[in-house]
Amino acid sequence: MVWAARLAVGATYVAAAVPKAGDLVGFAEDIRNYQSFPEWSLYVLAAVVPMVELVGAAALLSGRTRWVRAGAVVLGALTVAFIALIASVMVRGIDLDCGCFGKQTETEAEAVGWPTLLRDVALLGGIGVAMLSTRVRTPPV
Amino acid sequence: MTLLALARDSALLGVAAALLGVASLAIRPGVPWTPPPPPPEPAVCGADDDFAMAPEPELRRLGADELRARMAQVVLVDARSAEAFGMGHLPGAHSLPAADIDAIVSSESLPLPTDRDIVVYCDHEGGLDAQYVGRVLDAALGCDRIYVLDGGIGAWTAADGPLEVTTGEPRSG
Repeated sequence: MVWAARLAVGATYVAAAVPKAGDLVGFAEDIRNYQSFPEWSLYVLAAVVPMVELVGAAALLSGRTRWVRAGAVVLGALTVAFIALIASVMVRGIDLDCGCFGKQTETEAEAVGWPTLLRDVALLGGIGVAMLSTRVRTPPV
Repeated sequence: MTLLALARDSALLGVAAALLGVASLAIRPGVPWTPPPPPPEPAVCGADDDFAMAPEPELRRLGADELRARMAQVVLVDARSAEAFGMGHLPGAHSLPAADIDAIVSSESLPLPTDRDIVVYCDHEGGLDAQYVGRVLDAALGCDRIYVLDGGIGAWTAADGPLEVTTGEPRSG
């Protein structure tokens, strides 16, 4: 269960990061559509976010308790940010392509909505499972 | 593992990832640090009140007497309806009704010689249709040798200019 959760979360973030890292300009356009970030920050965010996803996923999949926990914290923070962003877009009524897995064609594009939000909440749950599984048990005194 | 150690490791991981991201942007050829400014929105007719209020530049006008003197050196365009054209038009004029000019320009090659000045006329004293057709021709042909008959066909007939019916018979104005 724990192993499966780590694998699922790690694989999801790797699958999300690779196309975005390969198409920085396209991902920056997706970020711009969220209307939440200043123009000057778009390329930096488009470069940093996939790298954080990749590094976090690598740490989560590393199997070393110390880095699994750190990776879970990093990916957890990122996922919370994604959830807040998606909720903000839904509240503002902005209709846009999620861009979660890079630039999609018009037919493949995933509109931001409840399914996106629930997927990220599920991811957060998986990260929680991975995190809790590494909790160090205090030996009885 | 203490919370402090976890925070330190997480921060280390996050900072390392961010630095890697920034480095990947720095070494990526042809991608600047900031996106180029988005292209300006295309102007929409009427969207800008100031623009909508601005009068369109008028084509130069040519008087009926001057036109009579230059008849052989100009191409005449009748901007009235085909029915009005059939009832009588300036000799040798081409019928390009204002109502159809956009379709004609976009679907056909214009049957107009461009080596001479073009004079457009209609039956409005102010030459509204003639101005419109003239501007469309101006845009389509890319030449600035287009004039509007001042006073329209009424001024032409008042100056005793001849008219021609579709059969080709000259008719006195």
